Amino acid sequence: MGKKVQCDLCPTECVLEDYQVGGCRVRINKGGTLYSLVYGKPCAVAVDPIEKKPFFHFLPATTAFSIATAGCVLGCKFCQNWQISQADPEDTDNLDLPPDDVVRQAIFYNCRTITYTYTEPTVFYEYMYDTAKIARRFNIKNTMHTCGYINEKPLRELSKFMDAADVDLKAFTEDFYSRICGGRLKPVLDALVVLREEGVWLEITNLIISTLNDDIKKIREMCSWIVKNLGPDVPIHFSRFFPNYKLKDLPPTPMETMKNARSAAMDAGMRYVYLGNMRSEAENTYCHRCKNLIIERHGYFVKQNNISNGRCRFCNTSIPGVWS
Amino acid sequence: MNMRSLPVIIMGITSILIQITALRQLMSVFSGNELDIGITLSVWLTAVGIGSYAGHRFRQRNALAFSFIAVALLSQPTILFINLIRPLLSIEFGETIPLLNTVFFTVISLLPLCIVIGLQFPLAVSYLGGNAAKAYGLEAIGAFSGGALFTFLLSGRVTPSTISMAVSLINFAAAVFLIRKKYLIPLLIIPAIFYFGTEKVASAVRWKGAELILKTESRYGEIEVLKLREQSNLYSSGKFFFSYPDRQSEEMRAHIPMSVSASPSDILIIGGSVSVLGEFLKYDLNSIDFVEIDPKIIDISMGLLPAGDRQKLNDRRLRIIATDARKFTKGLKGRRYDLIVLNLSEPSTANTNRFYTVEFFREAKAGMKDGGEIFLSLPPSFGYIGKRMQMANGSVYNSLKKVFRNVELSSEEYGIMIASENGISTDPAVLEKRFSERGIKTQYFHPYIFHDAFAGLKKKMVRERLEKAAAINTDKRPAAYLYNLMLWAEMQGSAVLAALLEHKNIFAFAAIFLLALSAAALWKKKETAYFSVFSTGFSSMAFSMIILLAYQASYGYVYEMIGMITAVFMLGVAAGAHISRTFRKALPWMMFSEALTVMLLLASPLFFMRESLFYALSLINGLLAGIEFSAANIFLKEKDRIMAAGRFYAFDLAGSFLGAFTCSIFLVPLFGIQNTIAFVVLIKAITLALLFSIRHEKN
Amino acid sequence: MTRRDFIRFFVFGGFLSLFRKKAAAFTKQELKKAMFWRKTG
Repeated sequence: MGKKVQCDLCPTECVLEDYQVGGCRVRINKGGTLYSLVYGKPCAVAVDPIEKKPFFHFLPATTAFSIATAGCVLGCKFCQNWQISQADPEDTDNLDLPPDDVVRQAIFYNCRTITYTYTEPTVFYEYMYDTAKIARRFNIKNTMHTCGYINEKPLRELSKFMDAADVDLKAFTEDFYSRICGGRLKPVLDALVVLREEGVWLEITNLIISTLNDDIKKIREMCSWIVKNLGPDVPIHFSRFFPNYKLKDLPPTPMETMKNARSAAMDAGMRYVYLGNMRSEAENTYCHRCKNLIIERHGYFVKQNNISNGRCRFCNTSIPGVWS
Repeated sequence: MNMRSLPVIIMGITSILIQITALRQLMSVFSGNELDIGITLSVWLTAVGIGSYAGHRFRQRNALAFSFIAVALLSQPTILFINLIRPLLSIEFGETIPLLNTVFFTVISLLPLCIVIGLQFPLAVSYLGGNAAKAYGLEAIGAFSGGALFTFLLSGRVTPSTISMAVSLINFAAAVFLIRKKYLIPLLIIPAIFYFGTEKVASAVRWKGAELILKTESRYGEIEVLKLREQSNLYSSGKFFFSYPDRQSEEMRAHIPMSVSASPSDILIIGGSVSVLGEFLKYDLNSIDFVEIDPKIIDISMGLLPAGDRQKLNDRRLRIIATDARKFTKGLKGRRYDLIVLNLSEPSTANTNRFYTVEFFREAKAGMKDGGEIFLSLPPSFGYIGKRMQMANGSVYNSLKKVFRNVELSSEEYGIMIASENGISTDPAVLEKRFSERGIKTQYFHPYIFHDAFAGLKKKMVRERLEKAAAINTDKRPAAYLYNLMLWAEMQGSAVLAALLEHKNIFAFAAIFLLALSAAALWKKKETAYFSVFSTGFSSMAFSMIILLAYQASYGYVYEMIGMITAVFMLGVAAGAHISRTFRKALPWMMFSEALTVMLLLASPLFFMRESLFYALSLINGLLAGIEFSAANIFLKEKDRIMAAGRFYAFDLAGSFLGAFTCSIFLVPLFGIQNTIAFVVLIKAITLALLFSIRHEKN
Repeated sequence: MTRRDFIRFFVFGGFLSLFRKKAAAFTKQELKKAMFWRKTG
């Protein structure tokens, strides 16, 4: 034999026989060597406002060149992107877009950043890593939207080139992760801490789903953990669940729950709490010190920006984030 | 008819009643589409077939009576078990059940009861002194009455647990009648105990974390309202419809279509929540017609609104019409609209598919003013439109393009399609200007959404993707429904089904090949007779399915009439069996009915023109099947007539199973009604040829 | 050939043809060697 391989990229740590494909659907053991099936083969390519990723404290009002390939390390029952995340790379229509072309296109479309998003970028690690390296040389920033389900070593290596990460903290119970996502919570929390240590700008997204993770007590617990381990400056985006994928018959989250979650997070000491996808004052940024409106947003569009040189124009407090 | 016939008739009545009840319950538990009808009917027929095949082994006295007791003891647990499927599988609240589990649990829940029901038939034959034709006829009469009873009396008025209790009680009574032993009477307490237990258990375990505040039956399914905090959520047959209050969604559903329309004055809204109407009424317009098929859904959703909001709907401009929207658009009589908004779910069932076909779009176009628009939205995707969704949404796009000169699309996250004979502007700046000029106050909706929904690059990307799809969605060939089924299969991880749906032509050739093979294998007199029973079971059931689906395609909700159409069919079977019971020369009659069936099938599109003709078609279909069964039975006079009856019934049911299963799951959705008819004609023609070839053969 | 052989032939052939497609996958494209893995035996 001697042809078995263990993948050390994500905490699933698949052991693969010859010609076996990993749980992520995109890594294959061929004759005792592990290969990526999606290198340079994205199926989703788009130019989006960076606010859509969502990043609210990272180069506001700029655009992000967004790419993704098929595959994912988890299998969440509520996945928005299941058409790619739960697909094999041979079943999607892929483009041929090697790393240098990604950077070229990003420059062509005037994007300040490249975002690795939609599905879980961990699965196209090599593609992301090489692209990020080139992008940095051309002064283009790298950001990713990830579920944080990645081992420490690869994450630290990636952090060298990653400027910001939006991590989906899907819930604060192991039960939710195992029942609904087919993963574990612990590695995600560990990854958050690593990203913080490596100095990658961090924002957190939490999708609130009725009956599954809408317990306000748990949300408060989660926010306290964030404040304690990552600091109060990490922005958190609560987003509203809409029926999707396997949870097609679960109703959208009540507005009340969303508002309760927001006050719970603020009570726990978080300074920047946003409600995504909902027109309200909760999509604006207010200075944590003087409480003045510093960034006014309408959805993904910035209406006014009162931050200069990373400071509040009213009280001169430094506002956490990457502003230029 | 004498008293001796009574138990057999009762058998027919109660078995159809419990069948319809179980079917509706399964649909609701599995949040089902038409696939579930096919699965349930096929499992039902197979289990009954197994039972009837085994039935001839029971020879003891009172066997029929004991079978009644068994049905009485099983019917309530069956309904209860169906309600327990979700918690048993630990399926989340609101999660759809994978197809494999659907099939598996349908089998488990139906098997015991159905086998017993199957056993009853040969037992009834021996009870009637071996007269299979009479048993068949009486059971059919019972089934007819049961179907009529359900359709006209019970549907929407009586809960499933009450029906199953009644079935249980009647079966006990029948057993007492047959055995004439008074000591059996105390058994009647069992159904009552179950009755009070079932409802409690069922509602307690069904919805985790949500509170059931209302549950009622309408003629179109089971309606439930579940409360999550202050939000009420309405379900019909286990499918989520809408929430109230949900201002965000309501505003989106009203202000995007209104802004896309240049001068909306007369508006037609099809389906959805009544609270959306309040948003439309904010505009200065002439009239709104709101059409929803289920009056109970209208009443319930009205009841959910606070008094103030309900008052607002008390507006002279608004007409609320409880009818099938397809029927409504056909009979507009000169009424014309500026804007037609479809607030329906995607075409994932044959029923909703009717609102996404070329035919419907033509009807809608006829009901539009000059420059009128139709607005609909399909499921969104984020970042990438998968191949199957590309085909599903693409077929709707193509159908719109076939009817309208202009079709505009939104970005994939919104899934919007707008069509008109005139130009449509989806320029975000134009829409934003319109919206602000009309001065509408909203809580969540903001014109920035136009910039997101109609961003130029995204619109272009979606159009390029959808234009690659070639299929067109029509009433007779519901392509969107088929691709949505495939999408659903893919979502559930049923790779086998998805592949099967994809390689439908291979499947079709394989079926025809197998058919020819089995015909070749049956080149003997006796087998040919059995084959003709099988093929009649197949064709009559397939024909019934074709009738049901064609009915669905032209008139709307099939549940309303499923009982009646089935009942008329059973009546035909009974009449056919009665007419032919004295035939001497059976073979010519068999050939005669085969030939007539072929002709009837070929002529059937003519019958799809008028509602009453559907019933006529179903009746004649039953009549011919009845004649053929009875003639084949006479032809097969074997030594042991009871044995023959059991095997006979089993062949009939095996055929019926395949007919129901293949027709509802594959043939009609994949190949359309016309090709399915052609396929059934082919089978009948093969049977006819076989019968013809054995006409001189000695026994 | 008896009728039984005939049927067996076709059923077997049908099964074989099912395997063909799966085998065709992963044969052409040039792949990128992955990072972060090790041989385990």
